[in-house]
Amino acid sequence: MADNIYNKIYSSSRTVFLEEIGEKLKSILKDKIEYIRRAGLDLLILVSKNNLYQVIKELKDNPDFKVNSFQSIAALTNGKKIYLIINLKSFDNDFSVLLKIEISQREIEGDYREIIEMLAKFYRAVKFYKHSGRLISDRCDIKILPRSIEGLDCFDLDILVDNDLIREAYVSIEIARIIGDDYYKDLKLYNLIAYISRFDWKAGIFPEVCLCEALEELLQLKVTERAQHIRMLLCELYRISNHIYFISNICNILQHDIAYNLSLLERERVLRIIESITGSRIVPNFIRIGGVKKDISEEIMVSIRKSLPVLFRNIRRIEKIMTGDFLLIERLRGAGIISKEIALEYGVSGPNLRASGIRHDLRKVKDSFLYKDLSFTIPVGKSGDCLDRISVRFNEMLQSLRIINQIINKFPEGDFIKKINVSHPEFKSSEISYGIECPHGLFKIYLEADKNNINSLLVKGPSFNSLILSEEILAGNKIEDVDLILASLDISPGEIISS
Amino acid sequence: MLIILKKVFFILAILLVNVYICEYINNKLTARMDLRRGYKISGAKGIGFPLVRFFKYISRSEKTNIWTFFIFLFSLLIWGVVPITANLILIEMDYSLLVALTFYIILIILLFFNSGRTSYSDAYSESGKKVLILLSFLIPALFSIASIVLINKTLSLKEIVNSQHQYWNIILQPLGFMTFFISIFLQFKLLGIRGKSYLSPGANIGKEGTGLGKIIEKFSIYMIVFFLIIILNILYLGGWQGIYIIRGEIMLAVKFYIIFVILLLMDKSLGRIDSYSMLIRINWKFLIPVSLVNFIVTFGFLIARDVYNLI
Amino acid sequence: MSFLIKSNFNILVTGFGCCKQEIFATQCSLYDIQRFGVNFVSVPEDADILVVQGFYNKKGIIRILNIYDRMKNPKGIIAVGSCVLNENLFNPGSELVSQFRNRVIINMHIPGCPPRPEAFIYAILKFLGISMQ
Repeated sequence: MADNIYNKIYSSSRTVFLEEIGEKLKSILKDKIEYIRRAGLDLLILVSKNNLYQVIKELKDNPDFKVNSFQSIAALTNGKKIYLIINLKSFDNDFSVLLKIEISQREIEGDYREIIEMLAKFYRAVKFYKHSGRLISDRCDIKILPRSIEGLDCFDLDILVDNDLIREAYVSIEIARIIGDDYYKDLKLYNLIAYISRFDWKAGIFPEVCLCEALEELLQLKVTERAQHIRMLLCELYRISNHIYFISNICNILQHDIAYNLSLLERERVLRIIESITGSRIVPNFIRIGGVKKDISEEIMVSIRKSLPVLFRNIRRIEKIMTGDFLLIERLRGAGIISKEIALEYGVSGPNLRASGIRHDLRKVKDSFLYKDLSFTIPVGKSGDCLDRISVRFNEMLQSLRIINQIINKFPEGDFIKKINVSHPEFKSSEISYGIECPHGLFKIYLEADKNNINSLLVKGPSFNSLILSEEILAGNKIEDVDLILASLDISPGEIISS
Repeated sequence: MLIILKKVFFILAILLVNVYICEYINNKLTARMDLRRGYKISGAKGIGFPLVRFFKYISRSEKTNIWTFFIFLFSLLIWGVVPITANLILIEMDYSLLVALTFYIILIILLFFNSGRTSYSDAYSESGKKVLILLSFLIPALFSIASIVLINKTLSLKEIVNSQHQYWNIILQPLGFMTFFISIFLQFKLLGIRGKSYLSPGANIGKEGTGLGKIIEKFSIYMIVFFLIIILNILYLGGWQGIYIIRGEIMLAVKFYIIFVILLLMDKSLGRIDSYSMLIRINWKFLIPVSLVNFIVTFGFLIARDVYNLI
Repeated sequence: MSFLIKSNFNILVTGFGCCKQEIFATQCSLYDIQRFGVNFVSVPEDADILVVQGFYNKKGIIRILNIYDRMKNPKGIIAVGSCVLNENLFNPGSELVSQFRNRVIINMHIPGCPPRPEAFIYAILKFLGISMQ
């Protein structure tokens, strides 16, 4: 089913394809929806609350659409109105739908509960939203508080056990709710770009790239080739840095000290390169609308070229150390298995999805960057256990090195930025949903703008879906594997603070 | 009486000096394997660091309980039975091997009780399971010991050493040595001498803990490891037998530190083993069958030689 | 007494935020904070110093105060990063920080968003009174 998604749709015909689907939807759901339009990657459908049930039923059951994956739900304020945005995705037909529902201001709580109840009939992943906030602390067997390891520090975990095995697990993200709904209101655009990299500090460039590209699409601005190459180079460097940090976290949990130290050393090596380019280590503030902040000089290129083989060798060495240890392999194999169906249903993306055996990568699907000019493969796992998730990330690092090598070899000349007036921008269209393949998965931004300023902004990271999924996959595993499984999902806490 | 007091003093001095050296080696070697420098502070190259840590532990008062006293007692009582050299033994008896093993088992069970009382009582602790697994690793060790006893026909540790004056038991019992060594290694790993204990909850707990109880726990873990290494030396590697002009005591020290460093390096280069099913599998599907086969072969060989005069 | 604490210094890092990875990066062999006798621990009872960093809401502040109460004397707090230091996007109005500051005394601030690992090591050494070479 999902195996041949990747080959099905060519990126050039994507816009046409989305419009076709939109036409089809329009004719079927004629009187139930108010309007349907294309917003970037997705189809945006405005539905009233009463018709929602029929619309979702139609979307899910009709074999032409088969919208079987629940991605996210979030509240959005535009002016004085409050909307709920429900993101659904069809992996079979490879398109995603944004359902926009207006809810009355007086009964926000009640309406929200009602909609969640209704969604829970269709999608299993909504179970999390049903219980979140009201945990079962009083009747749980084990309560695990946040630990100091990065990624496991932003949620509580309540576990019901059956001897050694976990029966049920509940995640609560109460302590991670930091940001209010309208944090972006008084901000200037350049401030917003500086702030937004804190939404994913494990790989800080991706939110910036995502926001800037979305704004560029709103402004109908074409970025120069050199700027795109610099962006791609930074993206791949951050991908390596994130993945190697992930490996170090896993080694920390397994207490494999040698691999832990080696991987941290390699991370420092990558961060040094990044620092020489951007001037900052983990939150770069480097991408600008229309280009990048600084050009890459020839000296930096030489130093990158020199350190690429060293990086390649050392990453291979770490991989060898980890895969050569049969005790470690024994431990990782069979822990926290995510099957294909569950991964699709919960809307997981990125390496976690690929480890389950589904070849889906936005870098290949979408043609916003110049990835189509480069040759690289997408590593896929088989069974979707912890071992697969680790080996997929190792292979991805090697592929990223390959991409960097190609980028450096054909670095085009030209301007690195197109100067525009950022303080008084003029947006051509009003709403856009934009996604980018970040190291954890599909990083998504939805924003609405009127003529001159941004009215509303939604940031949705992929870690949230992984966190919801962890409730499902922890059941049936052993207690001593809890940390390992959670760390192998590569949760980035920054993506959770905005939910 | 004076001689016994002198012996006690000597034994204590040797143990304390060795604990200090082992702690220092532990710090430095493990850091070097991480490409780090280890503790540089307090004295040249951090020689004073174990002492400083000792005083730091003591300076922070924490309630000690009755178990810590028993642990301290038993970790010293072992050395009344196990001879470090030919002369340094307090009580000479014919069954010293059995008594030493009994003390050892008691010590581990006491450690289990102690770990149950940690100040972080609300933390989830799996120490009971760990101790049971640790004890189950005694079974292959016991089989190996039994075959040694059959060969040397004695239960006294001193006699076992003396009977190795021609050749060491490792030549007669390579399989037994292997199983015994692996069982020691896994016990070493479970005890967590490298700073990360398995007997208490928490990820980095070995570096943590305060008060007298913590010191005694650490000391007793060292005692267990020393006991295991000395027993391995006595049973398989000739104990305090000298070679040519080298004195036996020096030989024992050299062998002791070689084995200790090997164990440390193995411990460091492997990750944490807290998958219990795997440990149980290693034990029941590999160690116990191999040691059992070794025991049966030895037994059959001896019967064939001594009873039927076949060989 | 101060000599003992200086030579064997235990740090407990709480909260979640960007600064955390920079703090834990000091563990690696490039920076090697352990050579000064500094360890990272996971239990408040054993910690000498509490590192406060990252984002907090009301619940988080209560938890941190609980952790601080569980620590044994002598104890101190180091605040890392601009989230705890001043008002910004993730700390709107800085009510929580003032609420936090009213309850405890912060011994040292490390500015930066996030501060570099060298800055963290420098601050710790300054706290301990060890001169950097």
